[in-house]
Amino acid sequence: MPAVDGVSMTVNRGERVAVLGESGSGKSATALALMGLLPGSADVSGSILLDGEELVGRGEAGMRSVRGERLALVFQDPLSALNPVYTVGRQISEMFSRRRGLPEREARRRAVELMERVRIPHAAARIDDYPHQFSGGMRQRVVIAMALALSPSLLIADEPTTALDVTVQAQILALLRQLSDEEDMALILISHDLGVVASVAQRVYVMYGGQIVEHGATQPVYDRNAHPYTAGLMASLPDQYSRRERLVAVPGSPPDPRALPAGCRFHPRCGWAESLCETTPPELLPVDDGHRRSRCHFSDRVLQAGSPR
Amino acid sequence: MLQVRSARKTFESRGIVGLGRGESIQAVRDVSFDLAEGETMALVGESGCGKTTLARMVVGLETPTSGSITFEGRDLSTLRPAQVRQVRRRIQMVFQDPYASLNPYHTVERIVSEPWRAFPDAVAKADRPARIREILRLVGLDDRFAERFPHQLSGGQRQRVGIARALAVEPRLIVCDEPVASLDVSVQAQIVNLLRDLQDRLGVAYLFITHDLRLVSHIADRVGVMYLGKLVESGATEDIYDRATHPYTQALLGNVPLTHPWREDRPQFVLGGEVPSPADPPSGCGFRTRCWRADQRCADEEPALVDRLGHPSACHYASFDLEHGATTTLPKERT
Ligand SMILES: Nc1ncnc2c1ncn2[C@@H]1O[C@H](COP(=O)(O)OP(=O)(O)O)[C@@H](O)[C@H]1O
Ligand SMILES: Nc1ncnc2c1ncn2[C@@H]1O[C@H](COP(=O)(O)OP(=O)(O)O)[C@@H](O)[C@H]1O
Ligand code: SF4
Ligand code: SF4
Ligand SMILES: [Mg+2]
Ligand SMILES: [Mg+2]
Repeated sequence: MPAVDGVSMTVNRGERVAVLGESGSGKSATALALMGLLPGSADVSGSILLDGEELVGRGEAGMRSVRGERLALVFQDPLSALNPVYTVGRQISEMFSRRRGLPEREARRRAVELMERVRIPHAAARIDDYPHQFSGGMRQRVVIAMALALSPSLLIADEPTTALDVTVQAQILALLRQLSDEEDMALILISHDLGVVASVAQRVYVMYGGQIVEHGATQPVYDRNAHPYTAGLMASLPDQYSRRERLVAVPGSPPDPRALPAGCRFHPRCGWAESLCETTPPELLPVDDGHRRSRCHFSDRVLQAGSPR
Repeated sequence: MLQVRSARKTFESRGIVGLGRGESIQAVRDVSFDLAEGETMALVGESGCGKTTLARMVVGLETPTSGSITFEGRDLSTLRPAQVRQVRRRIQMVFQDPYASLNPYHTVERIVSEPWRAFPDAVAKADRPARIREILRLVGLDDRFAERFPHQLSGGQRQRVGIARALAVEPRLIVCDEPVASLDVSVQAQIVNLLRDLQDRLGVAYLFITHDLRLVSHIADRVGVMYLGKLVESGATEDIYDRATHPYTQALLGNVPLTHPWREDRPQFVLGGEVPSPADPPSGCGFRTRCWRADQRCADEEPALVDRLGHPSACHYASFDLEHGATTTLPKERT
């Protein structure tokens, strides 16, 4: 069973795109596929275009040339990306000395510059500190600084704020927005949080059970859901404006990626399901004005019915 | 029913593997609040602000360094052990991580009946099998689940088992510590709705702990906002959502990522800085290192949690006004 299948994505220079979905929906697998980092046994079908260039199926050698230079990745847990026994300054400046062949002094100067660019206070004084001396939010800034070192044209951030508090999350999201504007860098943000996605991305890919189920510009996808899963997510999200209102839950839970349902993978949880859905997998087809796509036999009806929020 | 008075908890730490000097971590600092029968009070705040420590003191897993906790008229610190047990039975806890809090080698049936080992009088032996099935049905699990093991359950089902276990001894108060934080959004809603249904049917009170302000309005009657071990603002849910006066509460509300930002006229709020170490809290007001209203008085004089503009707020300059707080760009870091 492929980890992600039929995942086709495009991202243009300077654009911010999001992948939205619950746990096990295949978001991280997609990110790893983008980076060419999935183990050989894993299977990715589909196509991922960066500035019109195909990334899927380039092989390890082909990917190595793009990674870092054109593509960089930031994970949820900044500690896993940092070496605990080296100072952050050394880890950032190595990007310049190893990959760019800059002399040590120059590499160090550039490292301070980068730390300032990701708004680490007192960068020059903190460059010789070790990762454990930084807070979670500051560590994530260090990881972002390393990712930016080689000026990639695409930054992939996999749940970069999930482990952080809401006030620190807002800081990191604002930083990512600013950096992508300033550097004309494309961003693929991976998140399970509808609000995080809305605050960052111009376009969104909604994933469920290893597939893209809805895709389009963020605002129309949120305002007028074409897929029952998107509508279900919207309805179940708590929001600060409803007072003691009951939440509208999606029944059941996300499928085990090892045992996906036949037909439409969402059918056991779907209020719109008919017998067709149990046997025939729907395709991701254009809906609405044709700029959006939805993987549902009844997208038009769902659109007609209006969105829960 | 529950009165918490000036509860304080200080942990003495020895520093990292013997290195460095020991420090005292002031996890909870002079927190007071009341909770009435059948009511839900939410405690909100970012990680490290002392929520779990406070919860653990209320259920008796931790002893307050000073202050008192009174339940149904009895001060827990002055009771004899036998009496404490009787009180304890009426206060149960649901934990954040349904994976870690259930024994992987026990069946659901055994997990749910666990509290009866401590309180054998709760249910007669003969009635237990039927009672377990009744409780499981109450939390939305049918009879088949009794024989299963935790690894055979989804995250949401495990949290239902955690709630069933808490219900087994018919508590009057359930302390829920981030009960849905590890669940997917679509499943979170099921559990929040379940907790509300149980309250309607059983009249149980909740102390509901969360870092997610979005959840609070769906479950709480009252809200307390914590920062650096202290309650900084409290009131009816509407007071906190519509009439917050403490800058930290205003920042928390403004930092929740909006689902439909294009429908709002206010800019996304970004609060600078980070929470100071609880081992070395600032003088005066704990929030002053990040506060846009702070002045010298805030460094010199600690603001008391007293009624200001209609409900308790611990800010010298309590105000409905956001002033310079709302900004779309990153504020300068304060030092
Ligand atoms: N609970 C699980 N059990 C087994 N495999 C899993 C599980 N969760 C994720 N995986 C593996 O990862 C793939 C997709 O999950 P992932 O990309 O990690 O999802 P996400 O990042 O959206 O949570 C699955 O197809 C599977 O190979
Ligand atoms: N057993 C303990 N020993 C030492 N410090 C502790 C202990 N438990 C909690 N703390 C510290 O007390 C503070 C409050 O922690 P906690 O109550 O878990 O906060 P929250 O639940 O709000 O995240 C933190 O700084 C934490 O590191
Ligand atoms: S195809 Fe059927 S089951 Fe799948 S989302 Fe559409 S209506 Fe629901
Ligand atoms: S007392 Fe001063 S520092 Fe504290 S919240 Fe109020 S204005 Fe800010
Ligand atoms: Mg993931
Ligand atoms: Mg906690």
